Amino acid sequence: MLAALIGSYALFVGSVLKGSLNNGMTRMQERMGADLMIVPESSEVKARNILLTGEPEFFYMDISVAQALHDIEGVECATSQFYFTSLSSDCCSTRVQLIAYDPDTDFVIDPWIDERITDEVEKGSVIIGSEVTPLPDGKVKFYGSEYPVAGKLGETATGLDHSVFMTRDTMHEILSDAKEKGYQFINPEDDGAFVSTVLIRVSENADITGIEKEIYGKAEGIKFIETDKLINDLSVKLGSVDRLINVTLTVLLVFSFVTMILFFSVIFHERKKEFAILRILGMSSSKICFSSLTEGLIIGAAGGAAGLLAGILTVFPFNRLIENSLDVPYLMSPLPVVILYGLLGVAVTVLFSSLASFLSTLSLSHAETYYTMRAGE
Amino acid sequence: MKYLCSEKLVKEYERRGKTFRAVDDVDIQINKGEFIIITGESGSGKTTLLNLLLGLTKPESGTVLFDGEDISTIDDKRLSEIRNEKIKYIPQGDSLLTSLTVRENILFPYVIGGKEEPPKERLIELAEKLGIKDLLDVYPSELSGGEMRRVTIARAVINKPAVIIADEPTGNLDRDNTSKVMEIFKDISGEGTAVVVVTHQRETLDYASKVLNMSHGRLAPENR
Ligand SMILES: Nc1ncnc2c1ncn2[C@@H]1O[C@H](COP(=O)(O)OP(=O)(O)O)[C@@H](O)[C@H]1O
Ligand SMILES: [Mg+2]
Repeated sequence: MLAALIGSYALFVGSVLKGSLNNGMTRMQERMGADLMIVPESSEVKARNILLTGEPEFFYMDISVAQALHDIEGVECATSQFYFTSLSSDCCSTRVQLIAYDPDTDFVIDPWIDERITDEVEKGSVIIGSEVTPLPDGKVKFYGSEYPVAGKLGETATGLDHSVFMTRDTMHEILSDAKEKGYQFINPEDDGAFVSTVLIRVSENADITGIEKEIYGKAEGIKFIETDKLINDLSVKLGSVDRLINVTLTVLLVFSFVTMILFFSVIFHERKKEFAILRILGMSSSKICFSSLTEGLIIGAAGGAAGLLAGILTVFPFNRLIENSLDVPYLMSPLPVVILYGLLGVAVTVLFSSLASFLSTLSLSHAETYYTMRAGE
Repeated sequence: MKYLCSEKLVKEYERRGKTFRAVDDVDIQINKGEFIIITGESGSGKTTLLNLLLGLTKPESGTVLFDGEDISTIDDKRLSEIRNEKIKYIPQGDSLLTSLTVRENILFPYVIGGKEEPPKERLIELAEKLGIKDLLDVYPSELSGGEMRRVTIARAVINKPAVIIADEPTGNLDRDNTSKVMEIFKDISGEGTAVVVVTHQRETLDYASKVLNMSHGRLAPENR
């Protein structure tokens, strides 16, 4: 029973984890609109944080970098963004990443907009990431001022789920408010002179290294983040997490199956005498096997259901915790898939325990001594 | 008329790497209404012979016939049916199902067979005769050795089977209980059931219509 519980628990939690990791990875890949990201040389880690963990960061460089891209061959389009942060007391329960983008050149945010509330991102309104919760009146608040929400992005399984996107004008307002309250990011007067990153999409078959070299020649103090590499690094990481899950899953399943076989051999051995009595009273061996099979089935189903329940209690409440501690994109699989995993887990344990009970009965009924009542000996 | 008989029955076991015959070339005939007692030293092969007669063990050679059917060749289902209805075995030691009450134990063969309705009246009549009427709703763990024996006998005789085979049914009983049990066997053999009893107790031999002796796997008429 406990073994069945462990078995179905392991199967369920394991498959949900695996499924969600894959789901997260695919989603991230889909959502990475840019091929290259130019960031200040010293801020590469911060930029990765924004993407992967959703840790709000603030950094910037001179806008001349963006201008340096003109007439470089292979650059299909480019857009710049500016990253700064909110206060945790503002809204949305935690500090969020504030991102100013340029709607005219943008090619990364617009395709993700899931739910459009107003047609245009008007001056003063913002777009929120899927994990950002607005105030009860549907607005968000930064440094004392409230801003209407113009749209919401779909889940990306990246740090961008915790971000709020706005135009440069709105950014200017927020920066001014922040300055008034004593938080100085950059001087609002000069905010047009800085960007945090330039996102580039290269044309097909473009030589990325060549493009990087050319840009390096025109701008200083910069660093490139290649999204392909980023995803590759993640895949490697994901692979090791995946292997860990596989190993744990296998160990738990083998453990559960072996325990079940042991359990059934022990109880059937104890009931050897009972079986012998049943034989003497005229119960056929097929009937005995059938009834122990039924018993195994019931035990497996009960244990499996309990394991599933335990699994549900782990996976759902701790969803966030798992997501944060894994450090790789994690996105819960859709509910029907999760249900399927659950059924699969229970089915496998039922199969296991029936098989275990059947095997142990079979091994007993082959032993001739099992029929011969040699009581007292 | 022969109910149960064996021909040239041989059963071998191994001891210290050497095979020996626990049952050696045994011919036995059990007729309707007969009361046969088999005696013999411990280890002479009595229990093994009974197991062979019930088809619980397979012989190396020889046959066991019940009512013309060869027990060693029929399938498990038919054999189980025979054990459920025709040849009742009372094994050595206790053989009650501990999770059932006395009443349920006695009627359990009907549950397994699933054919006939349990005979309520015969149960009461039998329980009265065996002195276990007040124990019907008690669990086996609360019974004394003699009471358990009598319940086991009730379970065996309730449907008036063709043959009853009992392995040392009075083994751990006092003189009083022993004669009670033997009386019951005597009675049912009078009703047409063939009874085979294995025993050490020489004082019970007078109940038998035929006494056989087993020695080193061989069965022979007892010379008294
Ligand atoms: N299942 C078995 N495996 C090996 N030897 C056995 C087995 N059953 C009985 N024997 C041996 O066969 C002989 C006869 O045993 P048994 O029929 O139980 O004797 P009895 O009932 O007359 O005391 C004994 O020597 C016993 O050790
Ligand atoms: Mg014996």
